[in-house]
Amino acid sequence: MRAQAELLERQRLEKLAEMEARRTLEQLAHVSRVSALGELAASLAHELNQPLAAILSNAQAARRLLNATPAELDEVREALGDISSDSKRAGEVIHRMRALLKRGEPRQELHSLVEAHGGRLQAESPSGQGALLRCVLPAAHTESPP
Amino acid sequence: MTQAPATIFLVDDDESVLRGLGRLLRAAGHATKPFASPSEFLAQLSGDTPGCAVLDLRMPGLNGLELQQAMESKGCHLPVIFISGHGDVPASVRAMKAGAVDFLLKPFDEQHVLGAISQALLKDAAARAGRAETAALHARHAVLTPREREVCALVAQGLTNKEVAQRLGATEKTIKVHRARVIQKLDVDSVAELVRFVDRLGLR
Repeated sequence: MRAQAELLERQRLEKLAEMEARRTLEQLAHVSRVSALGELAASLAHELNQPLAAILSNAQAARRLLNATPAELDEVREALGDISSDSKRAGEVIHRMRALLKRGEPRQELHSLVEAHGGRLQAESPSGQGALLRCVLPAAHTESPP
Repeated sequence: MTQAPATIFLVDDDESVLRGLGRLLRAAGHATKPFASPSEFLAQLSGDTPGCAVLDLRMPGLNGLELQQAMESKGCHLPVIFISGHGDVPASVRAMKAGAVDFLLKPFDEQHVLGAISQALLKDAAARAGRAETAALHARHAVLTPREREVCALVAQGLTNKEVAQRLGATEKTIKVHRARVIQKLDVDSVAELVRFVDRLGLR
């Protein structure tokens, strides 16, 4: 009875240790992802500043065009159209960044290389968490049977 | 003197920025020419167009600083304003050292970009006027005979007719004639003006 209790206790501790180790690994992975994102942040800021610059210029241009006599309404319409698309573009940049920052469980997924067309395989995670796998194979390899 | 209207050359690989900025500058009354790449801009560059250039700092191929150098080596002296999506301090220092009029961070306010552009256009007009004047002086100086040029240089150094005559091994009377010719051909009224003329050409 006592031996069994000891065994159970040891198993419990082992499991706990294993969970702890896994959690540490996940945290480590998260930290390394975040520091990589730190480097990414600069280029993301750049990506955001582009549409923001275009939006600001278009908005200030539109105000001038409306104040002109006669007001240049066609040009104002085009400016507003550009403002809409650049706002969407900025939104997409933020969306992508958020997806990258999201903390998720590490997953293992199987992808068939046979499905590759033209020697290229692209798999994007269906949950939109930003995982991107790109595999470029020499054309000769895709033609040979698995 | 009639001059071609000033043109603002815009070079940015970001199409949205190019459109937005172009629209803003046109709405403010400027003529613009947009280019999506440095090579397109360089390919059609003509040294004589008055205006200024607004260059993005980070572009594939040539970056803004390299483009500025390429412009200079093609004899294009358009004043340059840099725009950038990065708060890149070393790059902005290099840009200003290379003679840029201004360095604007995206997104920039119309007040700043329009202010920088009027500053650049003033700089361009002044440089253009200076170059035209120097060219005119060179043209007048080119009319002098080799002997008259020698006399001109010595008179500008403050030598008297007698001293010039001794230096060149001629009679004072001949030098007087040469000197009168020089004054007449260069269209100056006094020796003081002659000295300024020679200084402007860097011949002294």
